[in-house]
Amino acid sequence: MDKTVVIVDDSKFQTMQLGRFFSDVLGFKVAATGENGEEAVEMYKAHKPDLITMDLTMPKLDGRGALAQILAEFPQARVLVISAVKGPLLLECLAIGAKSYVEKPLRFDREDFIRDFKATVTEILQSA
Amino acid sequence: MDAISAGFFLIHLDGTVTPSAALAETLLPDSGRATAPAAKASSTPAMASATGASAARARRIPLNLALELNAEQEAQFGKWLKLVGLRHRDLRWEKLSALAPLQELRSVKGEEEIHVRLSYRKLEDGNGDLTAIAVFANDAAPSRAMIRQLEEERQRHKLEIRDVLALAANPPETVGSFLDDARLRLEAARWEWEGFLAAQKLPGAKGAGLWQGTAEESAGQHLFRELHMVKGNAGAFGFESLAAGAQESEDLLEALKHSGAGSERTRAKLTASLAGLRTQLEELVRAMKLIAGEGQDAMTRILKWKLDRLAAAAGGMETAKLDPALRALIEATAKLAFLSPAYLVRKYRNLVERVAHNLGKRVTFRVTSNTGDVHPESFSRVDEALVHILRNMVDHGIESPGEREAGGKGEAEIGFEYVAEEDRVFLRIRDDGRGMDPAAIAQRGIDLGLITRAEADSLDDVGKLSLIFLERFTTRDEAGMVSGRGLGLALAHRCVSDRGGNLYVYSRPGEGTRFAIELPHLGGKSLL
Repeated sequence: MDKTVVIVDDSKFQTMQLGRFFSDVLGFKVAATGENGEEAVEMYKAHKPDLITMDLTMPKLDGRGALAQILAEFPQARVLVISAVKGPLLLECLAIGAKSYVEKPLRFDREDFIRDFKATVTEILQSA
Repeated sequence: MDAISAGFFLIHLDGTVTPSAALAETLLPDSGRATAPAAKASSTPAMASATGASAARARRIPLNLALELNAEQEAQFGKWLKLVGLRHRDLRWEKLSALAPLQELRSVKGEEEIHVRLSYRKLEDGNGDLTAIAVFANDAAPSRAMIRQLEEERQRHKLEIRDVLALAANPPETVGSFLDDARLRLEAARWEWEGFLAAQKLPGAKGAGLWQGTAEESAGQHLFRELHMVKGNAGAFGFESLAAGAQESEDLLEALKHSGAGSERTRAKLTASLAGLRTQLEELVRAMKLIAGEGQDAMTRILKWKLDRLAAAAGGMETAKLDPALRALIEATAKLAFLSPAYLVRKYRNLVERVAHNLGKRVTFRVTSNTGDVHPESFSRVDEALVHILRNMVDHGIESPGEREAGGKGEAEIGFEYVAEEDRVFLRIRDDGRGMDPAAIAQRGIDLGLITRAEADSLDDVGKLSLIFLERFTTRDEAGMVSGRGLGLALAHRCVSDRGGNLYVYSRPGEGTRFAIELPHLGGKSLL
């Protein structure tokens, strides 16, 4: 059965790009997409996906808040942070339980970016 | 966490890193003091396997000292180390090390900027426990310098290619007249600027501003106009570097406007900028010659040279006593290099259109001729005269569109007529502009001190009008943008005289002006 992913990003364009990558390249089924932290929490609950990708700077509830709420209820949740933020906030997200991160900008035109993205997703799926 | 912090050292591995990495030590003024006892290879198996025997000489330096971290950086490193401690088993090192707060170091040593890239490596023991993090410092300066140099080279090439494209994209004679025009303007700009600087040095000149006087009269305004025209034309032709250079000069001029008499520094910059513009222009002229070779490619030039020799030889032959067939052949040969007048006047058509456009006028350029192909030098020998006459016509002779409309005149026209006669050639140029009043011209001559009243009275209308060929005769108090320094028509007259010809002018107020250049035939009487 296909792995499922929920994509949360406040940029519709980037959500579309990510959705396409997950379905076309990684063979995932995109269960749902959201544009803020509140939707991330709702959608995780509704779909219990194999993976949820999370932007950090989002309206309503930000990525860090959503991550904490999801992990509080589902400690085994696999959360992949996809963000341009690469400072203390990202460190904190990884410390509280985000499985890994992918750095924006999304460079789907570059081999090395795609290679790293694939490796990161594979790692996360292998983790407990 | 303390365990990791304690084991978190900068390890300088003598002999195991590239010589440039050794630079790290030069960045570390405290290294001597902070150097911890060398790690023993046997005490850290993982490290030993990673670095071999040289690890024995590795030096361990507390990172906060080694990298001269400030308090904030130290706090960030603390957070990062904490994360490393938590996640080093399940998160790729590549991912973790990319999050380290410092990825590069810069410092300035004397003249030199030192730029070091840091890379982090984790050292684990046999159980997969983290024992240390090694920091490698790689001197990035050489590669950075190379990248910068390549980038500069690329930029220069890009601009050069654009210049070449602009040279190739426009007809050579059009580019040629642009370059001529730009050179005149830059010379005028230099003249204005040097004049202003010289005036500043005079005693009591303090405070005489660049922009003093009415907007139309100030030196600054003149300079600005010349630069602006160069910029606009260069931009239109696609000479981006020249346009950018003119923009820079304009900006400096503008800066001087706001700082009153202007700071010494800005003035020096403007002087340099103007000189730079002239250099850029000369480079374009050189490139133009390389590409177009005075207007043709190399093959055309060689062909033309051969053709000219053949035609000249044929033209010089005494054919009267020859067989008619042979005579016809020789005469045809002599005309091999001939071209139609309509083709040869392209340069002047472009000149008229461009000057008119710059002045906001519209002029139709009409060419007629009573003959077929003519010698290619029929016009070029009086090129200077034609250029000055045509510029003058568009600038002075042709009225503004509004004036023409008020006078019930349609679009302006300049007529160019080539008439070959038995023993001579006429180039007639006429406009349908405002014309000139012989009496007013004579009065102007008297006012300018060029002739006396008695001399003026002795002249007929043609004689009075011919005063415009005198040096320093100008009908304007201020030089205009295109012509009007009182030299152009004098130069035209001299050019025609030097070639054994005559220049005539005739005009009546409201009825336009006619110039006629009379020249001896080129290349022997038997032709044309």
